[in-house]
Amino acid sequence: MKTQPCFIGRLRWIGFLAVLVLSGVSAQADPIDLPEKPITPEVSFLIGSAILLEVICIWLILRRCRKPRFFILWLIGMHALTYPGFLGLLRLLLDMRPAFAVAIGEGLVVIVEGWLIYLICTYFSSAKTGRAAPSLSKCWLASLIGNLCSAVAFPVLTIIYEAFIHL
Amino acid sequence: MPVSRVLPESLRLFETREDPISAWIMGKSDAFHLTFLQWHSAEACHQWGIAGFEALGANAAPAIGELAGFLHDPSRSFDAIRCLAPIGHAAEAPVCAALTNESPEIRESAAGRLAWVCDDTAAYLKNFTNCLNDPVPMVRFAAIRGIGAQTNRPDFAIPILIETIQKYDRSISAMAISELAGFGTNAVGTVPLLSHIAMSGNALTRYAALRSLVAIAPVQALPIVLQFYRSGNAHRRSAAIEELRHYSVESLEIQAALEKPKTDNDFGIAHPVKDESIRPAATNELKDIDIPAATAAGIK
Repeated sequence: MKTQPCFIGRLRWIGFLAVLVLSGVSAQADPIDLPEKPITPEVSFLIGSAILLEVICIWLILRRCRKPRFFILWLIGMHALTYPGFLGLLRLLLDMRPAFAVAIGEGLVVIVEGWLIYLICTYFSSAKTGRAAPSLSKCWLASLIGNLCSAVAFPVLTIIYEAFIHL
Repeated sequence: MPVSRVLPESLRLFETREDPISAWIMGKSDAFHLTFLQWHSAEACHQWGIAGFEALGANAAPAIGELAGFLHDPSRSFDAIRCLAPIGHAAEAPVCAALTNESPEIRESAAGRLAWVCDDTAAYLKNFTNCLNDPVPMVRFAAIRGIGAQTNRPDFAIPILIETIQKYDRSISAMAISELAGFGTNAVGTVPLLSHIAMSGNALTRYAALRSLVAIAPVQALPIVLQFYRSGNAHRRSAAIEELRHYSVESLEIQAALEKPKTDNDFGIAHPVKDESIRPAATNELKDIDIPAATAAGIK
């Protein structure tokens, strides 16, 4: 007779713990599924294509100059530095009109990338090829043309993605 | 921040217009969930510019030329007047010039802000009269609302409103009468005129006069309100009950007046009293006043 209240007490404790633990499950029950367009493929396609286009432009302009091995990989790696920098700069220029802020950001990116290309070609390339390293002005020109192509291509790539890839 | 920097910044913000590239960039930032890039829309910048001019007030006088230039731009002229008006007297010429603008919205905006820029009563009256003769009613009403908003300048505004009441009839006059209510006890000098209109005016002006009387001088108005209440005319009784709600219900006579219409055959009179939810809290304006004495003095 004495075990009855003890058993009921334990049962209550188990029930309490079960409610405590499983309340999380009930909170997640039947969540409303809002259909949302996934953006990762589009962002990856656009940024990847724009960077690739820029890199190809720079490579074509500097093809007769001294370059390190895997120059295209160097250029892609360079964007791991400049692209977050560009976004960070936009964050600082939010009080401006977006077109103006992007123009300033792109201008600075052209200068920094041109300078980085010059450093890559001068200090990380082999002198055995017999070719001269590109001048700083030529690197800036290559960077300018590459970024212009990439900026102009970005809206075109968006249209291409929306029309043909994301059907 | 010094005014020398705020003024050009306000002007730059006011001038901001949406361009397709910025709109595209903002759209893409949203679409790509770049939450750290919270761009400001051109409209937001434009509104900040207006707020800047409103805050600057007379300090924005050096920008009058630029703002006056926007009066010819249909998309900016309305807001240009909003920026010019807080400058005050220095902006009188462009605001008055806007009174002849081809757009009624611009004329309405200028008419409503005329009193902000006209210090001289004679000059104001000349422009105000032109507004009252405007073919578009909303321009005429804006002019009256504009003068009615000058509650901090009763010596300037009340004589103009009285002149308007006496010169014009029906809608303009009724609106001028209504605007007097905003001046409260400062317009106590208009009580004889309003009492006369309440008793002998036309349908439009009569009820406007009753409302303004209650707002300006509730004690003097009470006999007239009760006289309206005892009238055989349902509209008058309805108007009286509406005004009695502004009095303290502690007075037995007013309590009776508010209770009796519950049995009124006219639905328009009985219904608002039955619906307690729309009945505002009674004011204590007449707490210390001997209402029976005031009533006895006014009503036989």
